Amino acid sequence: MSKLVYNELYKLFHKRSTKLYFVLVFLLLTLSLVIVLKFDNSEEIESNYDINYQQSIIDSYKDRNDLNDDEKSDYLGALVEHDKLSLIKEKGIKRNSPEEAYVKDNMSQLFYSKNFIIVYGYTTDVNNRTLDDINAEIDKEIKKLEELDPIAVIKDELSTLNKEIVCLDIKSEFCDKYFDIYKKVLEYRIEMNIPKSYNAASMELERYLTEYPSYLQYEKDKGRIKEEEKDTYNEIISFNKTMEYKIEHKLLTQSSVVQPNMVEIVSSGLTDMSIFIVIGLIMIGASVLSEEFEKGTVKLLLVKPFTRNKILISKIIASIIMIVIFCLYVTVLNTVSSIIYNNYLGMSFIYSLCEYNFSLHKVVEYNIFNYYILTFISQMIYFIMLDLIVICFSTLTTSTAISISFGFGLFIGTGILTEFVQKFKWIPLLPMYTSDMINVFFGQPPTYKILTLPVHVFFNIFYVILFIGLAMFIFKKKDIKNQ
Amino acid sequence: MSIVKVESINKSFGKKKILHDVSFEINEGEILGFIGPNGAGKTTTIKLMLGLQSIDSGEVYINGYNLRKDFEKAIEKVGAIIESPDVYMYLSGRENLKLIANLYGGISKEELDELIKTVGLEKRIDDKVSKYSLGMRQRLGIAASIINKPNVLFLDEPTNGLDPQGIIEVRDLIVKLAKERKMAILISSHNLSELDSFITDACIIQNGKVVTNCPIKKLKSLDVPKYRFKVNKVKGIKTLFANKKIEVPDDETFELEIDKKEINSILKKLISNDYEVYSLFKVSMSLEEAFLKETGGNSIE
Ligand SMILES: Nc1ncnc2c1ncn2[C@@H]1O[C@H](COP(=O)(O)OP(=O)(O)O)[C@@H](O)[C@H]1O
Ligand SMILES: [Mg+2]
Repeated sequence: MSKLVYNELYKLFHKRSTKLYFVLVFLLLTLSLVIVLKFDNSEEIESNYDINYQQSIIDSYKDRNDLNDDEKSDYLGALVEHDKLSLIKEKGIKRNSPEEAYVKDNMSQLFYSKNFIIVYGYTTDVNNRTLDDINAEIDKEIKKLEELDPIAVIKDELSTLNKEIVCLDIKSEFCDKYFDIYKKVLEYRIEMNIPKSYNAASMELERYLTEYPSYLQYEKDKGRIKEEEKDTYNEIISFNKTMEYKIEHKLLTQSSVVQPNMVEIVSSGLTDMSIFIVIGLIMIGASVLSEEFEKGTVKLLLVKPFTRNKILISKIIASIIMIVIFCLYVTVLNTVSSIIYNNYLGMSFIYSLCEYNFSLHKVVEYNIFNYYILTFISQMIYFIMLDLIVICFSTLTTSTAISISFGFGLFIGTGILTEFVQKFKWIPLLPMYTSDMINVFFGQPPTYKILTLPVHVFFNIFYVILFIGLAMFIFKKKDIKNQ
Repeated sequence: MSIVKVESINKSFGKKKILHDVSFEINEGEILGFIGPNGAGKTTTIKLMLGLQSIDSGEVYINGYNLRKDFEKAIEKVGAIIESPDVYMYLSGRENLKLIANLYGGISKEELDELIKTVGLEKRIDDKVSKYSLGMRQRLGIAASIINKPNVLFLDEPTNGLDPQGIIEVRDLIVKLAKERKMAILISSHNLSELDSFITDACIIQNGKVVTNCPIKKLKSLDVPKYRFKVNKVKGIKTLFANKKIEVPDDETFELEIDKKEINSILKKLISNDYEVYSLFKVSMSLEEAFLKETGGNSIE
């Protein structure tokens, strides 16, 4: 049997179509990388557009003396915005950097005061500062910007917290809990050195605070969640639990905010890029048997001292090994190109990921290794199912072309069928749905309610036996037609 | 002991019955010519003997094993080429042989080289098969079919599509193998004269029925002597010998199937009837004619 599998793999590796596949996938990924690197200047365009846009507003007001109040405030807004954007551009400040946040938050007021005097023709602002005073202060702030101390900003915030407590609606039933969380978040930020608007970490914390009341509300209504609200509910639960975990285990740090996540990048080869693997597997599954029928070489195999069942099974095993190789190949290419791409954007990576697991009712922390293995196993179940269906079909037709079309038809057809799930509740019991177990593996709520774990397992085993059995039956009965 | 035994096999495709109770045996050292016109059922029979198609009724035994029940054992010592040599075009000749050697196991590199020499492919063995001529592919196919040192070889029209040179090469190879390895060989052809020089037995099949199955010697012994007379005229010759088998190919020739003891009386009869006899010689009947005689005059082509 292992001899048969070895031979099948040897043949597969030497076929022109397989070599072509490896080259094409490589070229496609390289090409897309080159395109993205060479031509993606969207950020630049955006920021330029903003400055130019503000400039065009300014130009339209600049030389007019007859501005009404609305126009004046428009003009003022454009000037302030223009000042900020030019400073960011001039200093080469990066997006989402603490410097950008500093300019946008802390210097806004000064730019406002300065332009207020210019637009309205006053000699001083409300604080009795002259234009020179303000310009001097702006210069001072720019100096501060150059040696920015984010902690000071947070300290400031915390000191205003007491005032905020008074402002909170004490009658609100979640008030105490909410305030606890608010304080926790601020303390965490001080401890971990995360200033406001500093980066994605602070934004996550911000979102945590915003969503906390609805989280509390949902927790209270737990048993009475309506069906159509389930998704939102799950999302909020998952997010809040994860945040709790991250704060407790101090996973949100200055560096942790940096996207993208290495764990997801490595696994995205199997998920986002799975179309490449699907193409490869359909190609192999459709031809591994059919082509031998078409070329007549199947006779060569059948007159060897092996039963037809062994020959068929060896072909199935070889095709599955081939899928594994495709998976690794796409993973490597995808990871390398993502690293190149993201390095180009000046980012670094994080190597762990946590996610709320609905089956374990707790947050699970993954590293690259176990996250990849879980993704790999769950995707393999799907790939193998597709492979078995295509091979089974190809024993029937013994035509590579028809089987390839069928494979893609099935792949695309599944997408179309999904549209009708509401109407036909049994659709998720079809093999392309039962074999998609990624949610189960990561303990996420099922996409279709009917697909519980036992249903997945039962139907997958059923389908595997069905398709292999059917293929064996057809193959065994097959007469090798005279040419 | 017969190495191959085919016991009244029947096969239909749909309602069309292709084989009717086909039976024959091949013994050690025999080369059985399996002869019949196109569409007679030769390929179908060979495929049934290899388990490539299902048998409706009847049994096939190879080396004592029932093909249906003991497939792996029965097929173990069989080599075969059906219709065209089955080789992978995208691999080299050597890779093709290596793959098959791997399936059987226990075949050394030296043995493989020896085999390549036997079929005379040593110069081109590392080229892609897609670059081979049909004759070379046929020889590679034969090499592939004898890797496992079979004692049975089934060759379905191995010379089909080959040029005269190729036919001679393949034929010589088969004769060589039969001599060196003492295999039981079944070789099919629609052309009896292509085989009659080296087969030991002939099995003639027509419309799915075996019409003759005998040693080639017997077929040759059917070779009733025939004498060709050259004379000045043939007018009235048929009535003169109305009780004999006579053929008149042209105005000065006639052929009689007679025993040599009759020659004198024939000559006397001719002379007394005013015929001038210029010459007289014996002609041999070809295998094909012998076959026609045996089957009552139906052409096999
Ligand atoms: N798959 C099939 N379906 C129907 N008839 C077939 C099929 N294969 C072969 N035949 C018929 O069976 C007969 C024998 O074919 P075959 O064994 O190829 O003859 P041979 O090899 O002697 O030329 C032919 O009349 C052919 O038309
Ligand atoms: Mg034939």
